Amino acid sequence: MINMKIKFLFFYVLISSLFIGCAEEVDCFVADSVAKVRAVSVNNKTYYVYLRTSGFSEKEHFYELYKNEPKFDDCGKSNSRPISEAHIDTTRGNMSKLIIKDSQIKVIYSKDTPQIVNYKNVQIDAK
Amino acid sequence: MPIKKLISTGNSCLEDREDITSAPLWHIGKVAVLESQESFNLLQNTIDYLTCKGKSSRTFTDNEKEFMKELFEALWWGGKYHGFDEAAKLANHYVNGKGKILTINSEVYSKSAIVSDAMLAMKGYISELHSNKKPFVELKTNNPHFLRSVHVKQLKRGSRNVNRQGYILNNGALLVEQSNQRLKNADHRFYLGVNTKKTSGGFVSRWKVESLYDFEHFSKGHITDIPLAKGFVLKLPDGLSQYLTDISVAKVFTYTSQWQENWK
Repeated sequence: MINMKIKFLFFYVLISSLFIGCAEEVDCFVADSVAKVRAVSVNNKTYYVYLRTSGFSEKEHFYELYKNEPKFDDCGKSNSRPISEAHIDTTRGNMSKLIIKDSQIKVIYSKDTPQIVNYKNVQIDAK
Repeated sequence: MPIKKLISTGNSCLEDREDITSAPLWHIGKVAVLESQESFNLLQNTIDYLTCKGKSSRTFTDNEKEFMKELFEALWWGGKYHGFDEAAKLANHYVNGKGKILTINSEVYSKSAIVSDAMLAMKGYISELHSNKKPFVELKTNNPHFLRSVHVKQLKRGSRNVNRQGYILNNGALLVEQSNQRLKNADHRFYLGVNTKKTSGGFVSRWKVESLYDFEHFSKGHITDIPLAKGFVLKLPDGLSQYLTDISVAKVFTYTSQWQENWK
């Protein structure tokens, strides 16, 4: 317990010095990790599909569709809003593919296909 | 990747390293305050090295165990500092709690959009059961009759914005609204249970959430990004966090939260 208190004091002093203005602070505890899946062309328009993974001990995954290629900060926040997003809901079955239609992104599930191991390697049908 | 490089990567943790720092907190502080690239590299290289050892099911030295324990304790400081008290408490309990049940602040659940809406839906269902003289004392969001009832319609995907409202999954678990960082980093999806009694003035309900704190194996490939300062994001594989239970550094545990409500 004394050891914990010493550590706390140490860290408190260390972090308090942030307010004096040394390093630039980030405002999240753990970050969403965001990875580009690929750019997809639909009717001569290019859309950008990203995979967002959020949570700490329990992860959830989301696909996001952007009109323009976004930039993300260290917490996973994008500089523009996605025009559509879709949660990978594993209680609905195994994901078989993604569909992009009318600027919307949709996850298609199937009970017959095996679960995709890497969500970045998903098949995307653009209509 | 050339075969030589593949072999070299695969063997990167075959030889024991002696420069494992026993003070990750010190280096985290140096990155957070001074943006020390040297400290950041030391932390990330050590995590990568221990990940390699974990993947090959090798035992950790006392120094390596202490490093991982202190890393989770550092998450406690970081979580507290950013206002994520529950996530911080859970991370610390993982390495210091000896597997005991932990109770967390109910406010983190009761103030959530999906929990508030689920409570409303469940109260509607309970009132209906009571009116029809059917048993209503125990109810959980995974109850198949409840899930088929009209009350759940407003909780389902499609009618809700997952960022602001969250929604109920097919199995009755509640998926937290993604804008709620405090809850999603503590408990991302869970079942809400309730025990209700009829009183002369209405009903009294005791709400309860009970979840398990654990991490996925290496096979899932999940990685947690921990930003220490701008441009310095530590990558901690969930498999390594899970492996800590195999080498007795951490223990999986149940955490719970309860709150009471009187309603009519």
